[in-house]
Amino acid sequence: MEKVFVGEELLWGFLGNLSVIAAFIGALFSAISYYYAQKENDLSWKKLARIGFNIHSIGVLGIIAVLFYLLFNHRFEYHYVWQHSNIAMPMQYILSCFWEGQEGSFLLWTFWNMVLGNILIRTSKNWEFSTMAIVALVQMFLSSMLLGIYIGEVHIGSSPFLLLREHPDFINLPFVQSATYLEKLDGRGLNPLLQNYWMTIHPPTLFLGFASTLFPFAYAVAGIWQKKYSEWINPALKWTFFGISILGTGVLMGGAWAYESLSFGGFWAWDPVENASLVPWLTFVAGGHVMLINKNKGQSITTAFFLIFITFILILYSTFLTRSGILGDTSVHAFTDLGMSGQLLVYLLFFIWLPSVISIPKGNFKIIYLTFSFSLFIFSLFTGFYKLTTILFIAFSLGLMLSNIAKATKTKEEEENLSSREFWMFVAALVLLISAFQITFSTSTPVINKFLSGNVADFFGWLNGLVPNSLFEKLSDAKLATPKDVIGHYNAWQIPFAIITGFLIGIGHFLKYKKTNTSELIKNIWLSIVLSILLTLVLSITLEIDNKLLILFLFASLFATIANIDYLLRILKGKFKKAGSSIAHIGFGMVLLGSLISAGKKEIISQNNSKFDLGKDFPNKENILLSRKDTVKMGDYLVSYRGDSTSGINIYYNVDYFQKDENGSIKKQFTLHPFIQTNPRMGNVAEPATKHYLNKDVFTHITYAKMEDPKEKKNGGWEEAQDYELSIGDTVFTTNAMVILGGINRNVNKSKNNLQVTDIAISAQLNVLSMSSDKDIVEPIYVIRGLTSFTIDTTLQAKGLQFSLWKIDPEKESFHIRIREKASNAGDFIIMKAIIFPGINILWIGSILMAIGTILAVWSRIKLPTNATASTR
Amino acid sequence: MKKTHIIGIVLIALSIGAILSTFSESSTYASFNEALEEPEREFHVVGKLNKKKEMIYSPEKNANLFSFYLTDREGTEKKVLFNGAKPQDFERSEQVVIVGEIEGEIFNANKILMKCPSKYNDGKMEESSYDAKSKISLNNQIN
Repeated sequence: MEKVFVGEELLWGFLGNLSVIAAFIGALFSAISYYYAQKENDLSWKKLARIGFNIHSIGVLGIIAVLFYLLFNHRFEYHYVWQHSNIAMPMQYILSCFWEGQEGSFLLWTFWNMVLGNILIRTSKNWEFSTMAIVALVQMFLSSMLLGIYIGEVHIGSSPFLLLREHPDFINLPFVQSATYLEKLDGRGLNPLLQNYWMTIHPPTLFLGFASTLFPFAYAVAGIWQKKYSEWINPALKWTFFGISILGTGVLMGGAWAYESLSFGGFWAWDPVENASLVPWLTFVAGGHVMLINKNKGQSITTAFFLIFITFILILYSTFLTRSGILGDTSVHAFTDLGMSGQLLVYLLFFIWLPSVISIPKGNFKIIYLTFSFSLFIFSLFTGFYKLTTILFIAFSLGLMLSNIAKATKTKEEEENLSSREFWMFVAALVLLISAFQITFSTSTPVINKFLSGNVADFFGWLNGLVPNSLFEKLSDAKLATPKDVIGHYNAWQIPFAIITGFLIGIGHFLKYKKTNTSELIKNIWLSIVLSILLTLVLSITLEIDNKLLILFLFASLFATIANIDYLLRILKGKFKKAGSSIAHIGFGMVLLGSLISAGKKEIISQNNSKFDLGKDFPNKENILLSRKDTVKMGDYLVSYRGDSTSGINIYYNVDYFQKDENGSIKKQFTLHPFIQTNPRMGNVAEPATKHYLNKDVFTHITYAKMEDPKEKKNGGWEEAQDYELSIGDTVFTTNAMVILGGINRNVNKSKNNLQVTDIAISAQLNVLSMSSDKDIVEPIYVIRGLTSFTIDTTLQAKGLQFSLWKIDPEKESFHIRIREKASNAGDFIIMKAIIFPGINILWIGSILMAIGTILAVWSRIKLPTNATASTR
Repeated sequence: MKKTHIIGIVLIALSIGAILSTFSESSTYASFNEALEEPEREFHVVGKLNKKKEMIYSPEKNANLFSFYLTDREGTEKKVLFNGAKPQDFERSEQVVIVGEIEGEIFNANKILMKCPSKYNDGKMEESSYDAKSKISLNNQIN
């Protein structure tokens, strides 16, 4: 008989797995039916296909519902729940638990694809069959990642409903053999980095952005399939710009999360995971603009195809980068591998292969290509040259597809006019593409190492033997690491790209399709140029920017912003319907401006003035020690650490910022509470606190704090007592305060102190002054009751001091005071970092404008489905 | 020559530039012994913290100096000076990557990346038994 485990609820896992299978089968069924619906133009197939997609949708919703039920009810018999949550965790982070793991994030992705797919079914009209066939196929691949079944030795997918005791890590452990193992089980909990409100909104937005790249892709493939090489552009445009808006917002939210709750010390650190989401956005924006060129001028269609394809592929690639664990040593938030990377690679290769096959016009060539890809596959299986063959396959397939498209759409070559809008829009798109390429390549060093290792590295070793040089030597080592100055490396490339882009954005709207009248252009644009130059001068002087490249960057971003404001007000006269694009471009200009000012002029005010010289020009002297009640000058501020307080799992460190006003008196400006989230299992995590002003942020981060040692708590956390014999007016010093015996009170309020009327009570009036000159008065009492005596002690919690009047010497007129100090008083300090980010609000406002503007543009496209939206005038 | 050709050439040149700059500016993973061969060059060294030897961090004197001993993957041990605050929970790290230059017996690091496997990896048995305790204490609090 099978063993019964107490307390398990296995029905839910069964329902969950059933939903996964429904989602998978439904998608497969829908894809096949849509294929035949398209091929045979048969409405009965359409009916079946829609039923299939409905089954798929219900399946996906079912998986989500079950997973939420399990998480909310702490069903730790399920491995996913055990791994990502625990009982103590606040409920608001259940959402974060949901997508912390790979299964959950693939589920989120599948969910958005499903939602958007349902919208596509209802809006795409005669594109439904071909586009939905692609969407359903993608959904089939994504659902397969949740299957968690074995076919022979091959593991397909990973189910979120796997039982803990059946998980490979646990299956042989004795504790899961016990029938009552569940009774004592708590989950591992959520990574403290993710216990943050940003983590509840950033992933859904980002994954919605990821999902949105599928739809232009589906239209593009459908366009090849139906040989409607440019007709797909118009219906796909709104999807493209919707995606650009959402993905862009998601990327910037990631930056905001890093800024608000990570210790990056800035909002963009060129972290590999950040890059992985930025790159597809860049190609997406480029693709959207080339689509606009095609729509208005009917050219550059091959480039539009390429950019939309590459965006979709880069989404898969970046998922691979972040999820395969390959980034391991280089990123703070890379995920570990679940063995899904192989599956992801198959997925990626399939969607390169598919459009290539259907782009081939003649049957014979199709067979040749199929034979080619098949023999490459066989060749790599037998020889182990799989890295080279993969690259060869991708390059060949993309090349084949693009050349087929180019051939099919060949029109009379028309030389673009240098003054035309389409020419410069095209150039801007290429700048974005090359910018994306540079980021991708530099981020991919771990992948390059993997690629190099083995026979490729040997080849470079051989080359180095022939022509010895450092490049070949490095490549033959296959141990590339990130550059020393990561930010500098990226900035050196990206700032020039940003300058060109900024300038083109500024000028773009004033150019006309086909040909622009030069004098008219100058008439339109001179004011913006003059204003931008003036502002550049003013800002570069006040902000003390002297780097020529940065001044140029400042100009470009100001020009992008101002020229578009001008266009919006003067030429569009604020007409809302057409304003989307201008507003988005104003936003982009401001994002550039804000990042230039906030990152370029950030000021680390916690400069260390230590006497210790390391003898080397180490850049990192940014941490400063702050003892409790101590006040240190940092920039324009006087900063004082006032002690800590504990709330739940967080220890808050209260840091006061003071400033001198005009009269020279010091006034407290604000208090910040950076904190440390204690997490005994996963390690403590420090989170910064930031004071937001309109023109700047003051960022404060604990880099080190002595955690209270539980051993110190033995005496209630008190040090050994010190005895002092004091006369009136005498002073003693403690670690953090000055204590003066001010006088003696013989009329102690007896009822208030629960004393009897016959008692004799005397109290000492002690003035306790701390370094920051606040004053407390305490009165410990000495009581004589009959033949015995006792004391009533006073504790000053805020200062960690305890006072006792334990003996009075009437002859000497002296009083014996016993003072005990909190153990933490002595070593109570923090090491902190404080940074001022000027102008960061420009960046946030820009981000919001960008999102609003793009959405506005999409909205006006939906409202005006005809060509009326073309902005040619 | 057509404009598209010029643009094409510029594009290719920039791509090659980007590739070469990535290669030339990238640092290299190495062991201590390999790093010793080129003392002036910056390396990434992957290793484990030697928890038996002393770790010194006295912020009262210098908040930006922290020293510890690291054993690299080949088993060589060196003292590491890090010019920054001691990272939170450094003792817990299983794997450490240090970035910097070597000078004889001392490695001057300007960057530390550490990995606490428990943060991302699957838990082990002893962790589960720990969980059991924490749950009981929590229940007690509720009761």
